[in-house]
Amino acid sequence: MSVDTQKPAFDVRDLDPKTAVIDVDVHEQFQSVKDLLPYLDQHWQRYIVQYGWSGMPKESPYGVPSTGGNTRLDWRPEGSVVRASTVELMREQLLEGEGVSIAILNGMFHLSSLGGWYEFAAALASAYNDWQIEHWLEREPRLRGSVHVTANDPAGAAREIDRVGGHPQVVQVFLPTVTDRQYGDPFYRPIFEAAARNDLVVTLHHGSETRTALGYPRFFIEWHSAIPHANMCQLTSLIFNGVFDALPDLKVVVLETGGTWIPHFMWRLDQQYRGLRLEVPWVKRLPSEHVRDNVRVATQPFDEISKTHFEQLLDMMGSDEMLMVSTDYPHFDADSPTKNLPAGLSDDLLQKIRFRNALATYPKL
Amino acid sequence: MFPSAELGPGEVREATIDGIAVVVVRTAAGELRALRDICPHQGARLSKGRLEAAVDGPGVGVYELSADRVILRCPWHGYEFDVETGRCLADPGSRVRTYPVTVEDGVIVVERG
Repeated sequence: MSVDTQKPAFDVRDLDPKTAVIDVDVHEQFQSVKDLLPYLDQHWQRYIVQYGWSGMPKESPYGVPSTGGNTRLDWRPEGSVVRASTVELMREQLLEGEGVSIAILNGMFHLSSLGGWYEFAAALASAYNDWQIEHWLEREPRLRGSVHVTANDPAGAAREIDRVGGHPQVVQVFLPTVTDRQYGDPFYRPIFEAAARNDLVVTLHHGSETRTALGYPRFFIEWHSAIPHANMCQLTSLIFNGVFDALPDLKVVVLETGGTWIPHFMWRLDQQYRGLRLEVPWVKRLPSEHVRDNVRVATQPFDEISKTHFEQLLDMMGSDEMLMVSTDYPHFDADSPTKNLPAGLSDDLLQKIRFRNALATYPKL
Repeated sequence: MFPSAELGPGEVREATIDGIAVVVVRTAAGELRALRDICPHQGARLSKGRLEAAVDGPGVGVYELSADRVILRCPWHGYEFDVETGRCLADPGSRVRTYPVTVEDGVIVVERG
């Protein structure tokens, strides 16, 4: 498939910053993996049609005891339609329903987590990217998309980023927050280099494959409480392996991790770096400086704190440019994009979190 | 303060000047440097630490010992201070005061500046 590299039909800069909302964590999904068949070679089609491969295995043991399971109840469609599986549903429920001006798609198909068989994973990733472009991005100018890759084939991943990364509505490379590998390892560097040369950010998001430090705890509530730590571990790996020293303009966006951990994370890494710098002398700046310049964090699920504590949090972070609003549509714990933060924050700050910070983060928005 | 001959290359020695604790070092190249003998972190005596060549890293996993940059490393948490500037390598905003040091008639002299 060739990729059109013209500007998007819908220019974000035409939006009114007083009311605009860029939602950086939205999950589209297919009805079934068979939706990808038109984009797969015949060899790989056979595994789905003839040999019975039916989709990515769900690794975690949990069910979600929310009112709508893992889906926000009022976003569960009637009948056999799969949630978040059509542009029409997303327009009605998210863009119109929640007043979202621009939605960034992250999918629900973590091919980098497939434990082996990288050739098939890479074919599926390419097929998914083509399906996403044709069925979502090119049907709705308010959507922005991801390049899905197979991280354990970094050269192949970089080729895929170069193949579709030039599409005007593709703004990021998506990596699932795995917990058995470290993305800072130079082995994965070609992925980050490819993202940077295509003006894309790299986005991290956990999935059912993400373990806590205790593996899969006994209850979902334990797992869901603890998984933000996995993104902190991946960020630690990126920082201390010099990814941001090598690619100073690269942004890494952390999704679905909340934001109240950021001061602790900065202080902890700085304190370690002051004493142990000589182990990682290729890191040339305090980790907190890399975090402020290179890391951006989606708000959802945001801890319920007071206005005073929120303002203190930003003061401790030393930045009001790191947080970007997100809903996590269509999942059970989706936040409202306009009621997710404490009441009474200044209009200037809200415009940053809802709009301007994302505009400054994604070069291709 | 004390005879210059008593401080060999790579050695560290504590001293006081007008009641102020200072640490005098002689680098492997023979240069004398003097710094305040208190780590700005938690007050450890830097004179109990180690004088080392600074480590640089031109790439991930690549270590190079500096030929001319010398650090005094705190005995407690390992913070590294460039003996030339007194600045912490990890956080140049944090620094130890440095003092001019000379040798007069074979004796090391530290000036309060």
